[in-house]
Amino acid sequence: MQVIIENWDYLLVGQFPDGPVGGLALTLYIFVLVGLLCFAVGVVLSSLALAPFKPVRLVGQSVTELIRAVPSLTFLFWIYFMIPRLLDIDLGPLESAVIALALYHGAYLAEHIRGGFNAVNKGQWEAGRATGLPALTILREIVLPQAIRAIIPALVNRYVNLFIYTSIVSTLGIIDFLRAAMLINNREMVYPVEIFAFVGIVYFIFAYALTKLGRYFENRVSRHLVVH
Amino acid sequence: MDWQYLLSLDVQEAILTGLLVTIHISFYAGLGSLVVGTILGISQTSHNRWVASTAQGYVTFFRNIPVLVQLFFWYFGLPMILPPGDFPFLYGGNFGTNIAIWGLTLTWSAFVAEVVRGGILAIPRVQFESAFATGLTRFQTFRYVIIRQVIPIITPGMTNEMINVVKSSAFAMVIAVPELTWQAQQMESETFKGFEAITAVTVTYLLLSLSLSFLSRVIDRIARIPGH
Repeated sequence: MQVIIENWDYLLVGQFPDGPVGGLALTLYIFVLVGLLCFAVGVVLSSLALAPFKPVRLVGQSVTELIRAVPSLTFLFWIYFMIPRLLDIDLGPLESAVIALALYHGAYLAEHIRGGFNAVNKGQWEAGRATGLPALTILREIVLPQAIRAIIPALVNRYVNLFIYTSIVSTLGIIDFLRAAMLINNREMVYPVEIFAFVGIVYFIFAYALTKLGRYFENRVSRHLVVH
Repeated sequence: MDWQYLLSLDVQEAILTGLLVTIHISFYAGLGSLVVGTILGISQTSHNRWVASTAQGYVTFFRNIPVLVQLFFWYFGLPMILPPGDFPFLYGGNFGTNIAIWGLTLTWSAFVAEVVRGGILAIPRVQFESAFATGLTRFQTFRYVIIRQVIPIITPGMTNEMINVVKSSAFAMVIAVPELTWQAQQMESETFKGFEAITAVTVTYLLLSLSLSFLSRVIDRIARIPGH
């Protein structure tokens, strides 16, 4: 335990304030940033995949399928090597990692969102149209609430997965929580059990809390919807 | 871009070697998680409170820990817990590969267990009750009545988890196991042709994943009960 306490600051915030922010703070920052971005990616990709125009739908579905068929780590490296070569701009590892994670988890979210919308019975649209409601109102008042209820459990799992696998950015040399622990381990050599057990438990606590928070949210949304 | 590079014999050999290592890890980890996960999944539905909650605890724990942390823990930690001098048999063969199989099995058996548990819970209670009423023992009920109905329910989820095992075998890269993604990084450090190499590797994963999902659709169809 001594080794954890001695390196507490480094694990928590990296070299901050003498250097860039790292450690657990950076992991949380990446999680929040990617969490927002991947939701946007998911909405766009699922809209494409649900579009009434077939070629658009095909593009949306293929992109989603192809991204999901590749391991996250491989996709991360692919984006990391591709962006400078294709777009001729120099992106740092952190920017590349954020883009890669947002696209990767966005593709998974798109699949969940699409599934949620498809789970809503077609009759709901037809009944809405029959009563003369405009399409936007049917979407907002009738279909969306039901779709959201179907999506939330998968969404919670996806965000937990995103949180624990922000750790793959450590392979690009970004000093996130896992990388910070790795560097301490490389220096100390003799405490890998203590260090990685501690790291695992911290990831577990955050992921578990996130799951519980998600379930609470899920119950609230469902309860709210049942009233109608 | 230098796509000619991919035609060189060295590159093809590296990718083939990587593919074989990926398949090797995936096969044993997949088999391991299938066996361990099934036992855990059945245990989760046990009437014995201790058995059920132990299995439940295992599943919750390993679902919320990144595979990467686990791989580091075992790779660096195992020699500290069980010194190679006293337990030489643990360190024979390829240590990194064995650790990867072990770590992936621990994680994915938790996910397989959830699939199995879900399948058993999907069986209507009357199936159990009527089997007991005809005088079958608990084991016989499971063997002759329940398993046949559970298998078609869980095959889609199971094949999905097996594809996840293959994808997450890429994480073994971080402990220097020469699988596909590691090979791409190696080529980058030797020739700076990282983009070409990772593209070839990504395409290899795509082919592997897509043929596996084709295979899984065939398996799902075979497992389906006629008329359902």
